[in-house]
Amino acid sequence: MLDKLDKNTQVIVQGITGKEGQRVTEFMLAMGVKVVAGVRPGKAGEKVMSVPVFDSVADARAEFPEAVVGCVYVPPQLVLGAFVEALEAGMKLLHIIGEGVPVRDTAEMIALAREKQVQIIGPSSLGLVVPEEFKLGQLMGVENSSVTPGPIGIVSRSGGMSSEMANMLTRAGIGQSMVVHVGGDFLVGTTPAEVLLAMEADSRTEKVLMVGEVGGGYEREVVEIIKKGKFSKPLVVFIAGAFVESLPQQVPLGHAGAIIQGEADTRQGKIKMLEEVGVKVVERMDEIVALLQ
Amino acid sequence: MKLFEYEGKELFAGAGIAVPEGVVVESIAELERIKFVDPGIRRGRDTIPGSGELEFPLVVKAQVLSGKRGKRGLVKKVSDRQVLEREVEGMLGREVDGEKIEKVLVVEAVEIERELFVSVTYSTKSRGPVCLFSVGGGVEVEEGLSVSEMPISISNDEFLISKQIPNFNEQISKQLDEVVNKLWRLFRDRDLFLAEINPLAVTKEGKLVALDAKVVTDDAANFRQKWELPERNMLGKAKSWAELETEKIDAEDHRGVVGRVYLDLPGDIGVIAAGGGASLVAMDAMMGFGLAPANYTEFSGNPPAWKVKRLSEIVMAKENLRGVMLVGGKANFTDQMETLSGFAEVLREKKPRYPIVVRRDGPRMSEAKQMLIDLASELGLRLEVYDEATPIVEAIGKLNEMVGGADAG
Repeated sequence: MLDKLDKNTQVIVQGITGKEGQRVTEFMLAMGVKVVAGVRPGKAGEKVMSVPVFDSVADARAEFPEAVVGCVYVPPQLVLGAFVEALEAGMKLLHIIGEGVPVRDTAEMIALAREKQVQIIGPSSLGLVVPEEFKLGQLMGVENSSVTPGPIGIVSRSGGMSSEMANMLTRAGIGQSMVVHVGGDFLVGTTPAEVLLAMEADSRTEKVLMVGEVGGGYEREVVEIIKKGKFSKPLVVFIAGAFVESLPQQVPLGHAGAIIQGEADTRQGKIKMLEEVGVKVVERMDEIVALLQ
Repeated sequence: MKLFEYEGKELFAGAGIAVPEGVVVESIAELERIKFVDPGIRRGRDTIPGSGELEFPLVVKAQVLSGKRGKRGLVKKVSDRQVLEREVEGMLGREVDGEKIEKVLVVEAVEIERELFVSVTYSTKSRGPVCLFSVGGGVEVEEGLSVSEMPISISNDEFLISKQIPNFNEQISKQLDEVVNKLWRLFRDRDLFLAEINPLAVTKEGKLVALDAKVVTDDAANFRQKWELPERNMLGKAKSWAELETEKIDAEDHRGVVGRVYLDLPGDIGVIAAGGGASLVAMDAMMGFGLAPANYTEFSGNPPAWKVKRLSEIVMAKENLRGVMLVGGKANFTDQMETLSGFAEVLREKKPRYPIVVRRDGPRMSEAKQMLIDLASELGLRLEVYDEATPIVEAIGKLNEMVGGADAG
């Protein structure tokens, strides 16, 4: 689904009347994204920046049957319910901002998404951007000067690093095919490896830059898809987190995802594993540009 | 939040998982709460949990959040009252990895036939709950004994481990099913992130008893879970003034996330980080230069100036700082003029003599940069402001230069 997003993709925003919902709508509209409908129970008939509001996702879909891509911008305790509603209304790709969604709720959403073949970006994600084509969420904010079209796919666990990296490449004259912030929570709906698979299928992407972190086992999955030949494009990985490893105990800094579970989850363990399958791992940001030119 | 062993065991006992009879004490005087029972009177018989009746031999266990207590002499078997008092006295007040031992758990020693390992947690591999199990327990698991990983469907009301490991010891397999299923339900119903029993002992009498408890709760679920537990910071120590103060910031105003993470560290460079990922890059870079952070804290989202001001005040309240850095990447939507104004207000009030480096970008950064530069020249501050044109590592290199390197302190 990720490699099919373009200028014509229609978007529905759940929680559109809230502060966050309004902001994300503004950001997407600023890039020319077709935000066709918003949802907020009890506010049907209202408008948010020209976008009509409906009582339910089902109502919005009745009016816009083509729209299967959405954003969930509701408080963390309501995310699971909003997600289930979207699923039942036939949505296919959902971006979830909610910071602080209980891991049990995320696990339930992932299980449901698998069953119904739905893709989740998040939780705790700023979304994704296809430069000059499409935006889902609030990545890069309102002005988009950090991104420019080109051949590099970026996937990151950190929203700040997603834009920092895109910005660094843009300033060096290197454009991006797609920038995806998968989210910083321990469990995420779409893993970095799944984004790599989409980027393998995406004809716009030639090389990929991935930002890793200490903790979590997502790099292991990346190693597996490379071993199996499912991902074959050149990959550069940047892993931060020596500071976290210097602390005496498990401390969830940066993101909840930065929890170290075992040897392979440490920074050194990940670097070794990735290098063994031919991935170029860099520990300093200033080495990245030269490798992607 | 990570629970102490005694807290975890209370949870287990409440869920119907057997734990050894025990008493938690904070002082020698509190040993009086133990009702010492003559040997042999009730060995092997069931007692009422929480009765406080204990029979020698006993085990004294320091209540700290770090692991490997056995190897560090924090678990001691004692056979009489005199040795018990000596060991309790020796442990209380000791520091382990910066964590002071404030409580010890005194439990009855269990005659162990064999040890098992069982744990329920979430896995990034299956992206759902998993049960981890090993036929050996204790340090064997830490030292690499093989562990089976069994995914559990989140919607399952029952998880029977015997169906996964059909040929495991028949005599205890029914009991094991019960214990593991209780652990699974506790894990799910109380929104735990980790519920681990290591070791799960098979006693001489053929019963399963949880000899340790490692429990981590999911803080994100606190809106639906009530925990009446004493406050602790992420390193298990009692919270410092700064940690308590930073916690109050978000409570007053929901805009932005400010100071939710705050750690006091032994160094002398104050740190205010913005955004998760870039903060880690900055901290790595600091360590690369040999600079030692006095704290770690971060803010994200779009907070009002007063919240950033309060966070900056707390960071800069620390004495003997050699420098301060406010560092972050290029923000997607954080208003730089608003957030950096909060920081600037503290500079105006404190007029620090030590070097300060700001590295940040995002909406209204050029305005914010000019505001800081003007303030620096007005007050004569040693302040450098960098934006996206200067990589994070380079900006921290500049701070390193300004403070005179790692050894100048």
